[in-house]
Amino acid sequence: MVRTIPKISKMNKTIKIKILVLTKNNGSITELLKDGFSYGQIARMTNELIEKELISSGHDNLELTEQGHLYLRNNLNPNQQKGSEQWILPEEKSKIEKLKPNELYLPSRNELDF
Amino acid sequence: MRVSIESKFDFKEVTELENLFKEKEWSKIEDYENFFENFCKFLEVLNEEQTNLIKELTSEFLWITDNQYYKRLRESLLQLSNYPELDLSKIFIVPLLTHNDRNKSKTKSSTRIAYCCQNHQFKNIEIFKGTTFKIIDNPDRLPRATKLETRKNPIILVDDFIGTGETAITAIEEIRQLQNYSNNILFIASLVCQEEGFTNIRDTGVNILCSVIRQKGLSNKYEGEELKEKVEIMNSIENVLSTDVKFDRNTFGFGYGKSEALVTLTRTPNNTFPVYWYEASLENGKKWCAPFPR
Repeated sequence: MVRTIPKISKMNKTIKIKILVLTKNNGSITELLKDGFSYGQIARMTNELIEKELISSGHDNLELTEQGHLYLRNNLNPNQQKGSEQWILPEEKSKIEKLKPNELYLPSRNELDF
Repeated sequence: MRVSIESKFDFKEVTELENLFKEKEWSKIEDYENFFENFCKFLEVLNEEQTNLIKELTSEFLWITDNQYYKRLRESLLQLSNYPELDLSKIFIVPLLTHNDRNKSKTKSSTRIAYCCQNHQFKNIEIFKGTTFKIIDNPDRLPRATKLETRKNPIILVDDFIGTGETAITAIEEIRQLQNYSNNILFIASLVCQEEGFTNIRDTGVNILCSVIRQKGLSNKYEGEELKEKVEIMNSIENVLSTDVKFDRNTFGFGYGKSEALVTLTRTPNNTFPVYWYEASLENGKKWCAPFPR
């Protein structure tokens, strides 16, 4: 399967939050790869957040700075912060246009990753 | 569309790798994005200790890109200034090839280096201002030894890389069967040379000009128990390559002649650890993501 790498000129807010949340939870980069980002893009976006002092390099892994924690507190939707919703973010990339009442959406089998 | 993939990397690892490549200035190389992608995929299939070993070795890895060839060749040939008795008005350049290689008529890196010697930029270097670099493709046309010995014009066999030194020593022997040049005028020049090959050639008495001398990636870096451990880890990676029946481990295990080289040029020498260049067909139908394929 050929991967289409999304072109990004500027990191959008959702991705920024996603990296911060994943970093906070010591997560792997799998989620971003699933979104179609390349390893290089992930590394550069993470480096950008390090430069902006939202993330710092700890002994074993990366961790959020105080500024990073503050950014998350201010930008994560408060209504969303219940249970697993604290670390599961909306999967923007898979959103489709709202269907009419009589329309049916059947995704291609190849597009499913479960 | 979501992609079905599971990565072992965390953010720290992927940024560290990116920063290492930045430090090595590989990130400036054309199509780096795809190279980085492939390198990460190469690491994805390794376990933790294998990954750590490859990271250590990669930090020592030397990548000479096409546009560095003139600079490296210049550094090698400038070493001729250590031989003031030579007459540099004419320098004879011979691509380093054995008789067998010549007969196969394959395009080899040595021919390219010979051509590089005609770069007009050499005229800007003080000691080569009045030099004519004469390329001799056919050894039968080599100038007579007596003539060169009197004039003290050097004759240089050139290549981009010397591993064990085997090819160079054979080529010298073959040339000496045609013209018995002395060590005063006969030289080998290479951009990169493994220390082992350098010593083997020097032991024959022939002078060698070289921009970079490289040691073995494992044997010269580690010792004792640590070396044993690293060798075992490298063997465990080569075990995976060996699932491809075409992989000739006896010849290329740890690089040709067990050179343990960590070098790539326009083409990766087979002296480099095969994990970096051998695109093995694996049992799961996938190919080994060699970052510097041959």
